[in-house]
Amino acid sequence: MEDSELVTLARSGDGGAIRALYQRHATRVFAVVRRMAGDDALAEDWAQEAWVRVIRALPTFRGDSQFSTWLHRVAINSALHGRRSRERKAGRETVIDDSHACRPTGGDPLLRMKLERAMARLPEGMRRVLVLHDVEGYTHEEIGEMLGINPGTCKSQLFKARAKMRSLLSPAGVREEEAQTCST
Amino acid sequence: MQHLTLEDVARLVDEPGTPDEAAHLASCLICRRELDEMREQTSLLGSLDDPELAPDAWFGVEKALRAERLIRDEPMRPAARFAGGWIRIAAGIALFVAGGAAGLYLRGQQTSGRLAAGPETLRGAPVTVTAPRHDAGQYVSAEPAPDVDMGGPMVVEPVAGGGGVRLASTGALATSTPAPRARPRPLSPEAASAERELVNAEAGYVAALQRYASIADPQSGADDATRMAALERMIRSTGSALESAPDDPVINGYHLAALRERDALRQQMSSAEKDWF
Repeated sequence: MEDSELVTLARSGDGGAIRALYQRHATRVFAVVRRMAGDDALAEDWAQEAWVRVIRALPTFRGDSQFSTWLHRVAINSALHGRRSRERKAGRETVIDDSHACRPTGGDPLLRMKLERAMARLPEGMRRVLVLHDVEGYTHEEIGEMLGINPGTCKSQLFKARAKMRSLLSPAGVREEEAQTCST
Repeated sequence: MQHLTLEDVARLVDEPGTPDEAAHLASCLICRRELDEMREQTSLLGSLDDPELAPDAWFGVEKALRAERLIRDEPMRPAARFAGGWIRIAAGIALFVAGGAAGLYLRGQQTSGRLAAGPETLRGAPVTVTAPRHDAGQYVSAEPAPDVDMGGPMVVEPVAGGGGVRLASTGALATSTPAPRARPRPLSPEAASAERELVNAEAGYVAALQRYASIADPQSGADDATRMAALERMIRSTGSALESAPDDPVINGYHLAALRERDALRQQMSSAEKDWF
């Protein structure tokens, strides 16, 4: 069954259709919020919030774009909203716990794991832009719209994020990370 | 020689450099290698596999959706949830209602008067409904459909000791001889079609009763919780059928019998809990 047919059924609260949509797209939703969150527990909360938002907003989905595209944007917005809520509660930016390594399934597992860990250690603003641009493929204009910043700021953050990644992936960065791990 | 900064190299992944930067890259092996590695890093980020999602994540989502009443109860979509037996019960009941209505129309007042008497007086009707199991001895027989081999009249009988009901296939327990079906004139093709539908409905209805009886029979090994769940579903099915045909005596009788059976089972379970010591 096509997404559009499932969406039509899901609008009326059809449990089977909602679950079918979930099973089809849950992994992508979790992936984007996981990388924006930096840890699993927070990502699960944000992913759940994303799905509630999506199902709640289904009546407003007109079908101008693909359901998956729309869902992806809602998931990102949920992650951004979750981050803002968290910041309001904490009163400051939270240091992300990078103890939860993700589990890549293909390619060079070690290299991919290093990339994920380095991404999780980035300052939050840099990580958001890096995830949205280099991982998810959004343009600076789109990211600027999502984050409420101008495209120039977005570019600047991206280049800083890439540079920081290189530092974190360098032997010195890895040694620093290992030292931090040992001291905790 | 001043090397390019990491941020400059990061920018050169997406944008052309200035003439000075291009000249530097042409002559500096270190910065060229740095740019190549930065490109590789960016490329790898774009091809990362999705992290695995916890297999039980759906249950949290479902709970949240239900809390906001964004998801309908599964029983309202039985085809997806109960692809096995219970959908057939609902379908059998729906067919029975439709087939019965067609039969009543075609057979006139004689049949109509018989059905209107209520479920406890349905002897002779094509398929009949059991009396509550507490009324031991009040058997109701079901005449097998002419082209469905049921092995004899179907009887739902209460089991001594309060253990449930048992469906038997024997003529010896029937308390009355079903009246022969009167067919005063040849049926039109439409009527014959309706007749066939009714016969199929009868078979479905009896099959539904058989399925329930197999669960309700103490010898089946099904526990009280399984029986209770079966009864609850049966009550929902008959309740849905009654929404379409609220005055139908057969469905009403079936519904009430299931309700009584459930109440009796509740009492039985309750007393068992009290006597646990």
